[in-house]
Amino acid sequence: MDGSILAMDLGLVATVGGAAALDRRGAFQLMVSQPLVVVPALGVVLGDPQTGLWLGSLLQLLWMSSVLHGANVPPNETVASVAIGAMVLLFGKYVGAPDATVWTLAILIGAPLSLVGRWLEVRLDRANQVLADRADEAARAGEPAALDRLPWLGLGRAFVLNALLVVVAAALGLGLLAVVYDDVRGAFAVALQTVGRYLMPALGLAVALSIVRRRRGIALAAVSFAVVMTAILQGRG
Amino acid sequence: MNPFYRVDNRLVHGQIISTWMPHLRLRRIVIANDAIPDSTLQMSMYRMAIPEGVAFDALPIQKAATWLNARRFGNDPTMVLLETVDDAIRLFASGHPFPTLNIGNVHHAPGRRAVTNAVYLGDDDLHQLRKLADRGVAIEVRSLPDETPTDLRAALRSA
Amino acid sequence: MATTAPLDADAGAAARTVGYFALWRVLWRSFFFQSATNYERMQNVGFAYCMLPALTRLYRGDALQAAMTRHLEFFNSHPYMADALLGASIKLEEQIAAGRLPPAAVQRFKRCMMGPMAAIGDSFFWSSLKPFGAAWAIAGVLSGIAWAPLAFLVLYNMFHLSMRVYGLFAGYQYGERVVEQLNRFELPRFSDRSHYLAGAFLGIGAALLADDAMRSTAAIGDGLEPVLMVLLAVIFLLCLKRKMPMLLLLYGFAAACVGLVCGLNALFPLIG
Repeated sequence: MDGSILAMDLGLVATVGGAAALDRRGAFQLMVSQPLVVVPALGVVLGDPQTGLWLGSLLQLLWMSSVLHGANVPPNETVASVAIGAMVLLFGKYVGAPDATVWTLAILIGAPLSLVGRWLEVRLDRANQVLADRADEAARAGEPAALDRLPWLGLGRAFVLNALLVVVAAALGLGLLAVVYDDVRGAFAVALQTVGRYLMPALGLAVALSIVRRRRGIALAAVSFAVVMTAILQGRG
Repeated sequence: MNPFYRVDNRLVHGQIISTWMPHLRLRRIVIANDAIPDSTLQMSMYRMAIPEGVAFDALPIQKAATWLNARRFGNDPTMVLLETVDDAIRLFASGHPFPTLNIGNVHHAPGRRAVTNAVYLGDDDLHQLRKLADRGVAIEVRSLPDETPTDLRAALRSA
Repeated sequence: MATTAPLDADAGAAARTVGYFALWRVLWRSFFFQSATNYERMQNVGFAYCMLPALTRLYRGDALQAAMTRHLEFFNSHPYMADALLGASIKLEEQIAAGRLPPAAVQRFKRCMMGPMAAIGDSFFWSSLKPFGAAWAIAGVLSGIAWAPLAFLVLYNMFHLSMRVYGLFAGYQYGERVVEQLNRFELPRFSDRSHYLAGAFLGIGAALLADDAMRSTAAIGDGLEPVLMVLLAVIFLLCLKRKMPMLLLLYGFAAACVGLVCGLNALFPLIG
């Protein structure tokens, strides 16, 4: 394992994580921060877009209901997804083939990060109180230039802390993943495959369906599932 | 509980349409507010924000009390929205003693302290709410349906 | 050199306008609308920051201080819809600077409109366009279309960027009447329909995921994979509707699965 190249990759992970976290809340909101987009993008950066595409889709499903409404802060699917994506992709690059066991373990290790990410976001919102106070001062002094600086302070802080969170979590998670992976065999391996191939996709589908507002939308899902499934089974048999 | 009474300084917004509406299966939204019924601009805005299948009424507080008293909401899940704690007190005092009150969003203002991330109340508000609670109104603080309601009792006791 | 009056008031000339260059600067700044979100007043710093290029064109001295202060009031709306409110607020500020409206007019306008605008933006962008686009793109990725996420970005941002640009300039042109202009698009109607389509695409995604499971090393055989997948999805959907958190379900069911498989294997050793 080449240390300097790994360090560079971790730097890339941190940059992608910080930038995606900004897109999610503070700047642009182009939806680059959606797992569906950011994990394949990380895959391109780390040289395995195919794994990124599949993993991104699964993570998107699992966190489809994570929506910001007003003052409510939902779990942060972006930092969790980037860290999980980084664990899987770095494992693939430095340790071994990123099979179903690897990404199943990575999701199980990294999913709670969505809560840590939310905690960080709440802390940042609280810390931004200082920015609001300084904006008041700038207004009282009639100094537009002083107010102009404040958004960049907010963004800078959010970028650095989210990037750190993602890269530390990815590095620790990768270590844990490599250790646990060695011990996966026999019945435990079969159980993990079942979790990754059935439980997680089914849970993701359920989360996505839970935000479909119309009953008829759910009915349509059942119909299209039946049609496509029949086509697949007939095509095979 | 039908109708569902809520204090929200932004009245109809994303939390109402995207979370409370499916949660309570709302068929009707009523705004009790003295300024809004007179503003055609705001009325058209609210009408646009509320989905077609959901009825929308806006009435001045005094009239709302009479109107709500005269109506049966059995099969018509309804949310009554009030802009401020003051408006809720006035609706109650106008002869419409509602049994429950949800406090969803009350934004920060000088003299108000944080009860939750989304609800800031001043001594005066707490005092008023305490009077409501004494008259049997169940008061909860909750922005979204799947949050755990925050207990106001401790804050009310000291008010 | 603090003058209390707007720039041109003493000259008695035609009212000053902010001009299109300043509007483009406001548009650029609006991409950082939520950069200083704080609990007490939410997007207030963002709103004032976006208004500055316009405010500095209209006011100097004490009048500028007052204008900055009044835009630092509590504000919370949808970030994309905020552009329409920014445009209309700039229009109102021009009239305030010319002495045709009291300063409170713009504050009242913002207070009234942030809620309904957030309702429309949240339900159109967050709860409809995003899930619809994502559901489509997931079905695409699973059926082998590698550029599906890119198509999702393009589709989503076509709406997103149009709303920002149109909102800001229409807001500036129509002032408070921008609301009626936005009404014409009937976004809520689209919101409703997109939920049908999202459901349909999720059904396709489910079939492709079941197919994946069938071809993987975790295949059960006898075509039972789709049945298991649907059964699990229905159980999870019912649990989610009872407000159980996703992570609880993930770990609870994963632990149960590992326990069940390993326990069964200890009793009836089939797997090595």
